[in-house]
Amino acid sequence: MSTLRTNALEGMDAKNSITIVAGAGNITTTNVQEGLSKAFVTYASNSSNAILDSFNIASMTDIGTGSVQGNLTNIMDNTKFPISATTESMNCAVDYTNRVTTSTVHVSTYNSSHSAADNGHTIAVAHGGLA
Amino acid sequence: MATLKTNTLTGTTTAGSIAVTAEGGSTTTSLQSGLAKAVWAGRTDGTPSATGYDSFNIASVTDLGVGNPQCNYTNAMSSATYGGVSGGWTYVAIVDVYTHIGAFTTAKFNLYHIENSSQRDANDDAKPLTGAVFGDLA
Repeated sequence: MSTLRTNALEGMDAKNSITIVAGAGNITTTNVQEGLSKAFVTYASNSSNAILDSFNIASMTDIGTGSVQGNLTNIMDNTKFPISATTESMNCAVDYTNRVTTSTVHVSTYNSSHSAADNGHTIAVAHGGLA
Repeated sequence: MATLKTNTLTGTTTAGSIAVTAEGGSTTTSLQSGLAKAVWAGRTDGTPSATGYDSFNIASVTDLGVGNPQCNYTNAMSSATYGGVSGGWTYVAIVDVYTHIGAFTTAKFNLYHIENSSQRDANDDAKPLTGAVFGDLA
């Protein structure tokens, strides 16, 4: 096994694009930058919006019952970036209309009565491009 | 700080496997396995676009019905036993919006958008439906 030691990776032709062999057949390639999540957060809105784990999340802002805004450290390059979210034992969604900007994401959780409710472990993951 | 500049990364022992030392400083993880292999964000009312929104490794989108787009890969997955995550968007006057992702094959995944317990189109450009999958490319 060979080990390459470096602190940073950068595309040679385009700084923001590195191709990587990733297929099970060891032939198909994909793009490193596009495959990386750009932010994620696991938080508990029923515990003062405590951040349990995160990446590229500077802070969380309480918007109201079941509604939390995550504030990004490094912002995204557009306002339609893909965000996926899930929560334990409830439903949840991403509020694009009111809270998603290039620098924020907003996740809402709902109970079985379809009402906004605080919850435990809730996870949101963002893909797309950084600014 | 050392910066490696390259256009392509290939494993030396196995082309599709490169280990990276993770955050704790000792445990390694697989760079390839950690990457999402396809991502899509778009609308679901019969005019989905694979290019107008954010997308990655999605060649086209097939409208399967109300709130049910099918995202077709450019590069196929190696099997149908992979997984994914999804996201939907709340509306000003609608609560309890949620999504499912499933019907995985080597060639595509399906998304399902539900509002107030009924499958509905997410037909606003500003409120895209999202899916991301993880697993092995073919």
